[in-house]
Amino acid sequence: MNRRDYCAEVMANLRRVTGGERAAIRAELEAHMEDHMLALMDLGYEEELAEERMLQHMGDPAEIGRELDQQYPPHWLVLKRITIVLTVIFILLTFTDVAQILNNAGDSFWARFYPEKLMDVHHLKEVPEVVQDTDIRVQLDDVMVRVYQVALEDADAACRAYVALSCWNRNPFAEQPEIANSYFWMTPAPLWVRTSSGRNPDGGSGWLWAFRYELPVEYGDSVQLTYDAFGQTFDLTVELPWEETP
Amino acid sequence: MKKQSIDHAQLLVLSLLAGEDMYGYQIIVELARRSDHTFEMKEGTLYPVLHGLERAGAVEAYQQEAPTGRMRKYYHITRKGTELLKTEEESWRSYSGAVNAVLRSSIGGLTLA
Repeated sequence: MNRRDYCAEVMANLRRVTGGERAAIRAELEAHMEDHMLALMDLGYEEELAEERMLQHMGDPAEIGRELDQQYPPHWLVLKRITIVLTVIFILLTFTDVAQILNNAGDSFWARFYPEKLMDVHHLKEVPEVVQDTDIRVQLDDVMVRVYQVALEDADAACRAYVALSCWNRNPFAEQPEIANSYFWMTPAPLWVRTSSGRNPDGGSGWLWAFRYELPVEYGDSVQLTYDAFGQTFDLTVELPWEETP
Repeated sequence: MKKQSIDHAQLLVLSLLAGEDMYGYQIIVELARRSDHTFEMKEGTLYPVLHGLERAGAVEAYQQEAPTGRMRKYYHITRKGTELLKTEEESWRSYSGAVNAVLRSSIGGLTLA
């Protein structure tokens, strides 16, 4: 072992020190070893022998490193690590698509497992009298469209109907499919929603991945969902939970 | 003020620094010389002692250029360090006085026997 190895072993046991403190400790140890060697060389020792003798007096480098380390409070290390983690997160969120990917994953999760239930929607025009859970699915390549609830304001007369659908990509990190959105009930769109008596939606709410349509319906109507875009089509009839007798 | 206790190595180092500012190797040499080579610590173990005292505010460090051109780190005892040294010196004298008293009485007993 020489001076360099000795210092390296002391340094290897320093965990809590900052970069500046580490450099200062190394410089101080090197100065000490040089002082001792020069003193021995003044007494006539050859440099190699002086280094060997000096190292014999220095003690176990690993133990000294550990003892030195204990003199430094750990909060610097904690602060340093937190700073590194926050910096990495900041860079990832600012300069990469990670935020968008995480957002997509969140949307996908809610669309698949917890789309907002109709009874939880506070801004429907009327409170539905009958709500029925459904699980009507249509696959469009990687995209799944699911009608998960239907509801009627009044189950035995002309009234308002509600159809809730969600859609998600098979890849949970992919962008959410733009099959439904908050404007499709107002403007021409790939997904047409209308009643069997030919009425269009007059309201709706939601987001890209989960949307609730509000339609005026005649007693006995069903709701037609027709999609035609990008070379893909589907035509879905959704029955409403009418009671038998008007 | 909370009483701060220090170990023997710290007491010896503070005692040396009370006389003058010193750098690490100088402390080792002085300690060996003044104790007639009774206290010859492993030299690397001096630095945890010094850095502990520095963290405790008992000493402070500054840089000064050595004749070789290398910067040396000198240690200077602070007012807090001086007060600590005074307290520990008194404790040590009291302790060693008590030990001496016991030893003297034992030696007297042995002589009588």
